[in-house]
Amino acid sequence: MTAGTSGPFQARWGWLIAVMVVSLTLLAAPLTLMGQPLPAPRPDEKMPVVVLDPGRGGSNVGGSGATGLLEKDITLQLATEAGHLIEELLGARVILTRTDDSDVPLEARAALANQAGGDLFISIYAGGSLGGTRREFQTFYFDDLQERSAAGREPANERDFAGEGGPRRHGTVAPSPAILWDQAQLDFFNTSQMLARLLDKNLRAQVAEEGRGVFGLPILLLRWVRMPAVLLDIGALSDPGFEAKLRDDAYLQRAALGIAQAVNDYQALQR
Amino acid sequence: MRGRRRIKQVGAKSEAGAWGWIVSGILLVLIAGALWWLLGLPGTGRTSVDTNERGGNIPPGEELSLWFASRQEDALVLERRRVAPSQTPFDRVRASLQELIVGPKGDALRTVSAEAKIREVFIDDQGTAYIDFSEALSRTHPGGPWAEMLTLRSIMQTLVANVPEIKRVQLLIEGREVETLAGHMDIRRPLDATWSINQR
Repeated sequence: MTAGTSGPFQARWGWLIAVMVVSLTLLAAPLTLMGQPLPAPRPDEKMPVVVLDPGRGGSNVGGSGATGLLEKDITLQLATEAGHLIEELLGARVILTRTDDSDVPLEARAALANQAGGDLFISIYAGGSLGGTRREFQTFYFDDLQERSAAGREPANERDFAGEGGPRRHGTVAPSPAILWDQAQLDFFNTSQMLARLLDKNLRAQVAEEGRGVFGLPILLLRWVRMPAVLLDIGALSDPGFEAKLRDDAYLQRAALGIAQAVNDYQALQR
Repeated sequence: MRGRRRIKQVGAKSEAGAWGWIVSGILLVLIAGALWWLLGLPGTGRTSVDTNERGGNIPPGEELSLWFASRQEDALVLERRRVAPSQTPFDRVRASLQELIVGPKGDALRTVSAEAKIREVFIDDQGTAYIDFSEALSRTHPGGPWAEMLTLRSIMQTLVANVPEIKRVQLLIEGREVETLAGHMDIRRPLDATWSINQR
């Protein structure tokens, strides 16, 4: 009797434990997407290539703060720290468009990213402000903003030439290499926008500040990049309070972690 | 003697009556003039302050719509300003841009550097305005994609608002086409009138 009644009782407990284990596993899964280290990629999985672009450099110092902090130095420091985190936590390969105080032209940055076969491109700036007091971060993706091309997906050169008696879109004149170069970003409108939103979300969480939002603008560098690409403007150095924050290594670490988490989230969504 | 006195008295009465008529006439003219000025007679066009200024020999001028950045840098704000009248669309373009260079009078932020100069202005028959600025426009710009966007939109919106002939704007720096305004925004081709903030 006892044995007869203990059999179903033990089986019920077994099921209960199994259900709890499965539930806990499912609950823990999202935590992995929220910044925990991902498991190493499988051997057959291609290692993702993340291109980080520290803005400015060399004689192109960019913005400067009241106490002398320079935009070119902050962008390099933040990109380097984010690169380390992405490599360590996500196992991705990171390429920096500059690793020292050199002025790399925009087209050379785009070419480096394209030739490396990058999977993601994140350009980092600490831009200016008309009033000197705007401090919130902003994320941007490419959008042409021209007529009949709300998403910027219509080839701009062909459109412009067509209006001026040049080659028509469906005409016999072949597009020049310059036109193709200008269209590099057009296939990545949706994925770039998604990456910009993930960057915005993760930075808000990490630096505990309200960002200005996600915007599409005709940013020349992004136009030339043939992969999902965004530009992060971490804030204006001209604001004295924000300059003090940027001098704090802990703040930069959190911002770098926000960038790494955005890359993590993007990869998780692409799987 | 009695008759002479009578004649004198009659003369004094008629003289006083004449003066009364003159004063009454002047008063009537003044009142009519005042009413005419206050009410505005049909056909005179005296219905606005501007026309009144014209009557007072004050240069009439023309009103420009100028777009500057809001204090929060999240939008453009309109400021209306009267300037000397322009003879041609070219003059009106120059006047509009010059007022942007002068900067806002109200609680707004300037979008174009005070050091910038307008070198040349040209409008082709397709409605594309070519605006040639001095290099100070780029050199003294605070930079950043957002600030560049506000500057371009301020220029674009101001020109389109004040010069109906303009459909597109091509910016030049020191006579040449340039890739970006201050490192970010693509200005190699003309910006069209629909160019605007695209927030999603």
